[in-house]
Amino acid sequence: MTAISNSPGYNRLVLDKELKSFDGVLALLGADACTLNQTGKKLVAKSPLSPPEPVYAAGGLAYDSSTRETIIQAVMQENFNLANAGVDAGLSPEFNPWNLIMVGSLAGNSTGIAPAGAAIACGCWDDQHKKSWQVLSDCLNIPVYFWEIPRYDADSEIWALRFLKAELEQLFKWLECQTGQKVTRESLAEAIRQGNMIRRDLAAFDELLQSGNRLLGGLEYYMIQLISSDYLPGPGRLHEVYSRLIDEVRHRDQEKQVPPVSNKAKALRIYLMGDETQQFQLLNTIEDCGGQVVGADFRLALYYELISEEGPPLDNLARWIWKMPCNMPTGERIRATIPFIRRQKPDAVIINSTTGSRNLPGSERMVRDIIKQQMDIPVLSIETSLPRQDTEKTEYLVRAFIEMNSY
Amino acid sequence: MNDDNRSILLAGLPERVERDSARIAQARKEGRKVVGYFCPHVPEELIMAAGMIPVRLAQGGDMEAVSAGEDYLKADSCPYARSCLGFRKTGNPIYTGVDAVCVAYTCDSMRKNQEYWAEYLGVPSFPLGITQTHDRLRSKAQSLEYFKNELNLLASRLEGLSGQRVTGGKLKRAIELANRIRDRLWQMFEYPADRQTPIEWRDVFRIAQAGFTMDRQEYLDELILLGERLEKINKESLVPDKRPRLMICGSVIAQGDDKVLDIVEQAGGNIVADSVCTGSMFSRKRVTLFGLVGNPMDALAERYLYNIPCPFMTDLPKRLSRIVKIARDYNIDGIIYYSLKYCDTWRAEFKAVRDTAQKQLSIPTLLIEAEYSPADIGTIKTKVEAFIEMMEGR
Repeated sequence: MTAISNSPGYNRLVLDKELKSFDGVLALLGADACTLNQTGKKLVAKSPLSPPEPVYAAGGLAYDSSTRETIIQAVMQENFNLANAGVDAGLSPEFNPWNLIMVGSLAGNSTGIAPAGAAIACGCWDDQHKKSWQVLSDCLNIPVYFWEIPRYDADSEIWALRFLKAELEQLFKWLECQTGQKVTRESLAEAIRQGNMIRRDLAAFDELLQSGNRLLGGLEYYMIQLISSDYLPGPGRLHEVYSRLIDEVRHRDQEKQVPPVSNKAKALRIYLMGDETQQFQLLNTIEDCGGQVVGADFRLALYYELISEEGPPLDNLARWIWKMPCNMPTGERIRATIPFIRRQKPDAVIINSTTGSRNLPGSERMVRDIIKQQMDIPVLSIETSLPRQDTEKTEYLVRAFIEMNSY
Repeated sequence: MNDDNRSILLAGLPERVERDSARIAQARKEGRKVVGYFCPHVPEELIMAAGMIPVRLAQGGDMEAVSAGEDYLKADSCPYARSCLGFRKTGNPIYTGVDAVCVAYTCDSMRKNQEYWAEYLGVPSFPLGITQTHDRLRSKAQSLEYFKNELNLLASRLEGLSGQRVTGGKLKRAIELANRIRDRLWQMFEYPADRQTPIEWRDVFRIAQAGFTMDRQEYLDELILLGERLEKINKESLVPDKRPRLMICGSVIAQGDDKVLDIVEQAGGNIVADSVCTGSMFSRKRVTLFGLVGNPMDALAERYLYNIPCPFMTDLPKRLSRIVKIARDYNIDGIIYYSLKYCDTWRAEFKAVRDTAQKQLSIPTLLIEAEYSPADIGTIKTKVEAFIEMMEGR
């Protein structure tokens, strides 16, 4: 049993109880302050889509506060009032609930997890996250450092990479002050090597979902992806958990065991895109209606390819960060993502927008059009908010979409 | 201003659009290209030096344009961003009269604008990368170097469009013209610092906005004419204004977005200063060229990177101190904080501005969140009236 398994939100979810090694994911998802303190490392908050390697290279422990605080507080504990606390702290009520809950939770120290500092990546993808940390820097007595990823434009590669390397070098110095450990060429190379283990694992999960058999439930896959953004409580431990899961699922495949989530002979294979949803039950709904989640691009930016381990690690890291799909203009991002989507052999795509989110929803029309044009498969756009808010309409849409496209 | 001597700079928006769009259409017939831009981080000097006509696309307050923009951006993105796309669709002659747009990578919505203009409106759309974390105090040399390279890239893209080289000489001449405009405009923005002013801020604001689409030389000539007329007015003969002195800061106040300004005026408030990107910001800082040997691109990078206080950047303390300085210089009694609905970056800084104004200046700040629709006029009016009444009682 883990800390979250008694929570009201958890009890609403239908998980694959047969998948024994999934307990490891739940344990990591519910990692509490005590567990993190035991590592003896300084906790450094980070943005969901920035690589954790710099923090680990400095001997720290990366913490994706937006994802973790929200999953614990909103999804599991259903502590929705924290959104109001986020507004009290200074955010607009029109912000998306990931940021509202994170700010409300951290400002009130709701989880008891207190980062020693925050290294926030500013890029071309999320104003709200940046502003949330600007507000938090006023509420929390911790140092907040903004570092920057310049926009991707093939014509600006030379100076963009020069800029990014200078930014990373300054970030390393700042991290050294927080953790007391210098970032060296060796420590960065090691962090990259360990990060690549996680990337391989995530790619392996995607590969498992390419199978015609339903080997892994959509909700399990979603949770596996969500905890990947900070490698907590360290890449070695996370890799162990992932490896056990991969082995168990592969074993299922060999034994031709079908997980209990499936209920139809031929399910509609669905690829998820857009914003992460706080409505975890949506993943259950998709399967209840006869769909099968075969992939998602929520965290693809973190494992779209391995970071090269040949040559100077700083150069390799900078180049990899600059080319993360989330740093690209929408057209290029989707065109770069389509090969990954195709590999999952989807029959349809569902694009989620989170209420109040401005970035991905802002380009939703373009994403939809490019997918339809290049893949010729049906696309459904949905909008979700806090876990139990306005779920009926979404469920209805998803159900109708799957039924309509299953024949 | 006396109505009999009304400058063409103070003409209403429809009249200006008609006049300027006709001029633009004529110039295009003669083979000149017109380049639009939205945020003030794009140096108009570069467009001029490439032999093209710069126009700032900054109209708003039009529900038809907002709705048209929803074909691309969702209804919960800021109405200004939606309008930037919508005006092109509804056939606004200024927006349909551009051959290309330059879009600074500022907030999420403007970045999406760049993409939609290119992919859906079929207009060449040149992005301009601009750093968010630069800060003179932290002396990030890489930011200036990056931005200068981005300006060079933009220049080469503009050259490709116009077929004309951007030379140092052309750039210097364009900078000189823009600087002269800035100087003249700034003189006017300084008048309302005095209670006995020959021109009110609202009119200077209109004049600044008139410049967005006017021919630059003609605009300068008109500014000089008007300036001379204003200088002749004996300030001592003017009645000191007793109304509460307000500063407006926050989101972009586009041309045609008059709702809040009208309400404040009707409620008896007197806006005398601003910190909005369509107001005095353009004129606050010249492009400083050091003699004949100074590199004009260096000067542009320095001016446009460091002197546009937009909250997409992380340097909040600098923005706060600027607001405090303006409030002191203009002897402000209160701040109207204008946040367009769904403008995340400005809205998230309200609390910091309010607290700073209270702590350092002992003045109140009123948050007005508005869309372009008239539906919220009543609510805004009530809030503004109460705010002004409160200040009159202080």
